[in-house]
Amino acid sequence: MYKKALLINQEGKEFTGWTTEDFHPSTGELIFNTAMTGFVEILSDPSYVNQIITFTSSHIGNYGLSKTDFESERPRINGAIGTSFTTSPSSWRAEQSITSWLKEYEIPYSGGFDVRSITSYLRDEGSSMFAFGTGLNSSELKELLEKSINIIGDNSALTAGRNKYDTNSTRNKIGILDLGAKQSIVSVIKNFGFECVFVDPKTTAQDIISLELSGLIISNGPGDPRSLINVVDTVRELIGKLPLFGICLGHQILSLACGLSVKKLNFGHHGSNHPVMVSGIKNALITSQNHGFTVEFPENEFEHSNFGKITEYAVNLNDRSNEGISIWKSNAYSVQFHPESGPGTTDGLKLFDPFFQMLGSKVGN
Amino acid sequence: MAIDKSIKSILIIGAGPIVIGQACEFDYSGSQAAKALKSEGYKVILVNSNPATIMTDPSMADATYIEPLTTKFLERIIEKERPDAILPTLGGQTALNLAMALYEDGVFEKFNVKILGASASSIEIAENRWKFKEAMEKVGIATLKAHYVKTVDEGIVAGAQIGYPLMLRPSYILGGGGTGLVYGDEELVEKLENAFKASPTQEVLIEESIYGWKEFELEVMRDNDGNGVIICGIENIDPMGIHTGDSITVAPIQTLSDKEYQLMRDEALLCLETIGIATGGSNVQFAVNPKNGERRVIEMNPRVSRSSALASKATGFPIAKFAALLAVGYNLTELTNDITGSTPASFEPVQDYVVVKIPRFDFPKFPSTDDVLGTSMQSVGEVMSIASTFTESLTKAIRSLEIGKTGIRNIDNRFINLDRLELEKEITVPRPRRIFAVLEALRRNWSVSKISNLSYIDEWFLYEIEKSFNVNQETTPTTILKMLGWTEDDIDNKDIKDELSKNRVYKLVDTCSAEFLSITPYLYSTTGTEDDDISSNKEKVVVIGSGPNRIGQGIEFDYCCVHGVDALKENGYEAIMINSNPETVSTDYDTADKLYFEPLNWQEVEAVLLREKPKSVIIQLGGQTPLKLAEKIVEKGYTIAGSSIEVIDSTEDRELFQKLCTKENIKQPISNIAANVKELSDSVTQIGYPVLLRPSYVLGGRAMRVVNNEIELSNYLDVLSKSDEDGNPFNSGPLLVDEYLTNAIEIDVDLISDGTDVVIAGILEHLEPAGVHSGDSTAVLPPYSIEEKMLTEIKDKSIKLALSLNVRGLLNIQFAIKENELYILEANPRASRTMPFVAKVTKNQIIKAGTLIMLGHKIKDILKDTDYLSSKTNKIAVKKAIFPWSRFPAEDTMLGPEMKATGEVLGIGSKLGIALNKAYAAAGVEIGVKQQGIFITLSDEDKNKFLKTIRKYIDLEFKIYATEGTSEFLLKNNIESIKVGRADDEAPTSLTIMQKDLISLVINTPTFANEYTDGWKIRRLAHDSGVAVVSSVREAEAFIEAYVESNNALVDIGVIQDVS
Repeated sequence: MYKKALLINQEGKEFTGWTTEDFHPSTGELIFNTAMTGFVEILSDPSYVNQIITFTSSHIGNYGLSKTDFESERPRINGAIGTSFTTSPSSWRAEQSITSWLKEYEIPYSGGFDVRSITSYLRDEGSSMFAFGTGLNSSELKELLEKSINIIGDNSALTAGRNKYDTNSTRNKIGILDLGAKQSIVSVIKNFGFECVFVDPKTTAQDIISLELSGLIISNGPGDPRSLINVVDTVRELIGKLPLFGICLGHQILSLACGLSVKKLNFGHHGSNHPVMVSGIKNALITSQNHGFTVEFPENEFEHSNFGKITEYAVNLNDRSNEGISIWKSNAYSVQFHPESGPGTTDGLKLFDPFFQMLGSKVGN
Repeated sequence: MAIDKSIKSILIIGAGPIVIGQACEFDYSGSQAAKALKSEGYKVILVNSNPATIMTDPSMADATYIEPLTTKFLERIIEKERPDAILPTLGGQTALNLAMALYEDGVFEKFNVKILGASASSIEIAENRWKFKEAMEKVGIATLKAHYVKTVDEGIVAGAQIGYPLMLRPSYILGGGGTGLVYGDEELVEKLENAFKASPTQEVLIEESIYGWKEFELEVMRDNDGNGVIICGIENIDPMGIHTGDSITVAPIQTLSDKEYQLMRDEALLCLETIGIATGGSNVQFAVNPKNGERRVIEMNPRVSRSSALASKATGFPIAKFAALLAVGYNLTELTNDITGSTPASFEPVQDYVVVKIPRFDFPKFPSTDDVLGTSMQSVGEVMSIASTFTESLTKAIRSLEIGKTGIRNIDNRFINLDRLELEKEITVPRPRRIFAVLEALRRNWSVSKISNLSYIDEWFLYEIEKSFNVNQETTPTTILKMLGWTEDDIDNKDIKDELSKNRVYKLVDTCSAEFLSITPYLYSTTGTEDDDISSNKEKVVVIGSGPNRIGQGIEFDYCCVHGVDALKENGYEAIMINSNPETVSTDYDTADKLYFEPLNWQEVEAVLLREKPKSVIIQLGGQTPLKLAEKIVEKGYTIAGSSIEVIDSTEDRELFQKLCTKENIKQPISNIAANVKELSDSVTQIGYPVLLRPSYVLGGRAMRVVNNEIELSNYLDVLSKSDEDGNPFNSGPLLVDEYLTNAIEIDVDLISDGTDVVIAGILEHLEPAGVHSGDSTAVLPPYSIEEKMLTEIKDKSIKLALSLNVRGLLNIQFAIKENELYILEANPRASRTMPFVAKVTKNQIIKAGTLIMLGHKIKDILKDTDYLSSKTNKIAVKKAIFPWSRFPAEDTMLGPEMKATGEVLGIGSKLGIALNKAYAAAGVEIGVKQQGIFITLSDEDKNKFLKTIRKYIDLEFKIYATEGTSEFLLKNNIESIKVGRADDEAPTSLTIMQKDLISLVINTPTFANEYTDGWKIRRLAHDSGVAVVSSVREAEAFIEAYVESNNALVDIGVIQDVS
């Protein structure tokens, strides 16, 4: 039997889907993602913590789930909205269906929505917190919203990562400051022949320096970068001390550490098709994106008193928003998009090159 | 941007006539490119032999040549125009091959013409199987494992290396002899021996077999800066082994994970880079093993293709336009995405809907051909549909096909009645309607894995369809029902039906899944709760298009729709287009003010009318498809533009038409209607043999036949029964029985009328006798052999008929002249197949004028206010039909009352001979390149008629070859000829003289007989080797005129912009 799945925000905007499943209601920032493949990667990406994803693509989960596609060991979203979810996947890689996996972790999902109306609403009105459930009426769901956390000030990145860190044997390895780091970042590092260790984001700069890492990647992650004041302070102390490469949330943190400001985008960039121009590269890269905040870069490059010249490293061609900064004098740079792919094109892989070059001779044994 | 400033003028070569595999998608791409380059200030020089194209409209280019697409003519045009560059990648394989031939002949070097888009060497690598394979392997892209072998031993070694199953392909063979699949050693030895015998070089290519693998295509764009984007990924539902043009396809790709898709994307981009495609659009085709994900690149087209047209329509991204702009030096990052109007073109489009394409076939027209689908394309058209789920889209696509099926739940009876084994066979062997066999199996609850094993269709597609058969309409929300492909036609309960209808909303195709606001009203209907809307306050007029191409209803009607839309736009109306054919110009998002990509079924059309509330609906431009909707449109209170429903009835209803003709004193062949076998036999007795038979309400003379006796009559009924799903020849309506006028001259008249005044736009005289379908015959404009008195009678009667019918808009009349007596054959109050030809030649924009008349304008005002009807020309034009014989090697090329042509070419000149010479050249018969000989084989009753004509050939010093009987007859009449043997005799035979290029013409009166007679062999070989075949004195006489003008044809070329 089909029943209604209701999605509602504080203003009372409602969207209705149809599902045969019962699930616990949930809340989260409602966003949309336009990717047409890579659903397992998206669902397991820790950057989506506290978010409900609307997939604009028609069919979700056609090719099922393969653990090799995991960006973390479980789904990290608060809900999934779509037109149609596949319960009987078809692929030689499929180990189970996405729907059974979501059910295992009690994550609500429902098809039967007019997803385009949701996307248009989010595009025009901006993303906002929504409650999502079956069996509850509008007012009951709205009540849940009152108790939900707000995306502004959300510091869940501090706990979105592995939460288990081993600091033995870190010398000359690449560190990943783990704000919810995607497995694809690790895979890229390994594919290039390097070793890496995860670093607790609560570690102090001094302690990080004492790990004698060859370089540090500041990872992607969920939430509001402005709430991560300690992490920003730590990174500020690290600039110039060891090679730094920020990805997504890591980019925002590096930017904040340099004194740049960060603001919330109206509805964010979530998809695999965004053209980005990177300085020094002739052609645009088609990039994978997943961020709700953006760095405000001034019109011109500028000189930082401690770190040297800071330049805009990359720009989004769709809306000209900032996509990266470089502080070459201090061996640090960062990008807003996901050069590691997972999901998305491999166009960005070459963005790891400067980092690997910075490591110089300090590369692991 | 790095624009090459040295380039001021660019030559674009079109794709020529519509043939299977190369249809109006190249009119679409050529038009887009020409428009784009012209607006950038380039001088665009365009050559195409196809008059029914929008691209050859005078306004599209600066210098347009409607001339034969041969190297000779192109060299002449290049010499005359001296273009700085050529863009060879927009006119399909035809243009690419011509460009390569011109390059090899040194023409580009001689006249200093630069090739844009791709270099000659990269085109060569892409086009040469083996070079392509080597290039791919060098950069690590896997291609099919394959070896050339010359002995059985080599074959066994190669087979062991590759692994079974294997595909054997003998080298240099025609028609696929010796080709086949091999599953084991013993079979390999046996089949290799045959394969060696089949190959003239005793060489066989042994390839790994990928039959049943999944097939994908990526549409790639690339620019000078190395920006590379995938515009669209297409997945074939039908597996490898069925030509992608004949496969049901889906976009976006549904069954690949991101990891697999990205590897494919990387390879596609690397492929273009490796081959050296500097700029433009290309498509790369892949096969993927469903068992383990192994991937092979199959081929790459270094040009815009049929798939690019589909990809453009599927995503809204104008591939051809950008391919042209990239070729002159723009790059993707600086061009704006037209659809959103704000984002750059360097992004990859995303879809929040599923597109399904289904090909349309015309096999009943080719009765000697087994309709099994394979690696050679056989479909004649296609439909595309858009909806938010695969199943809803599939249903819409089925509805769009115009085969009387309302969706996935409306299965052909012929499958419902099959037993298990028969149904299994229908699923295993791919034929045009296999999808219905698959649906029937799902309806019977067969397991998805069983159906997938039989058909090699990926299980995902089957699971999705299966859902639709597993829900109960009473208990399932209508939103879900609609998403699962249920339509109003599947539901009995009125409340549920109404609720289902309420779920129909209209969404935009916007390239970005609504991430950015889009300004382009390109719409489709689907399940949902909210509409995307862009509307205006202008007076709205809806134009209903012509649906999928089929023989008899093709590009000509799309041309008419586009002209109608242009007229509306030029005169302040909001033009709204509805159509389902992705190959067309009419479905380009910037042709009409608003585009609905929808099935041309009443339900969908009504929903659009309900939403738009147009002032008027135009049904005269899209052929028979919109005409069929006329009654319902009127019933629901909408206004049909122009001629009323009564006009349509008076021409389609035999009795009414008879009355009218009698009243106006216009003679008709005797005609009857038969609704059953008894009535049929009575009619035939009354009229007497030969009679012309056809089902009512069909276009293109489908199933039309001249029947000479009882045996042929019962044979005809058998054929009709077979093509009906219930086996009843009278199922789709009564049969029309006409007196057949032998040896008559057929005339086509195209006119426009406003009820008061009539403008006769063109009178066409057919070369072939009446009885050859007008779409298949050679037509001359203006008439060349009709006496003035008869011409006056034709004009008078046409005007009388138009006024008496009260036609408002367009009218096409077909007459026949027999023994100086004028008969009317039929009248169609709508655009005709010949109108684009007439408009192109006379330069009078009759469709535009006709459209204004439909909206109430008067001819006298149109003459005053527009330049639509102000041209005059002294040129003579000849239209020749183009046939798909090479796709159907078993068919006889003989012509009859059932239309077989897929396209047409135009020859134009100051004399009939010149125009005909060019028309022949454009149709693949280059007169004068072979030796001066003709071959004559005539039936006894025809022999005398040809004597005078044969003497003319002798005067021109032609050598005469003849079969024994004909040769003896000629000798009796003092004509010497070289006697040739029958096909199986020792040389010289009728076939060897063609093979040795000894003759340029065959005069042959066909005898109705079994297939594979000598006549059949002669006609087939003539077609394959570019030798003309004629069967009447008129044609043989006309050929002489074409022959004597051979030298002048190449000189008499000009741009249509100054035809006068």
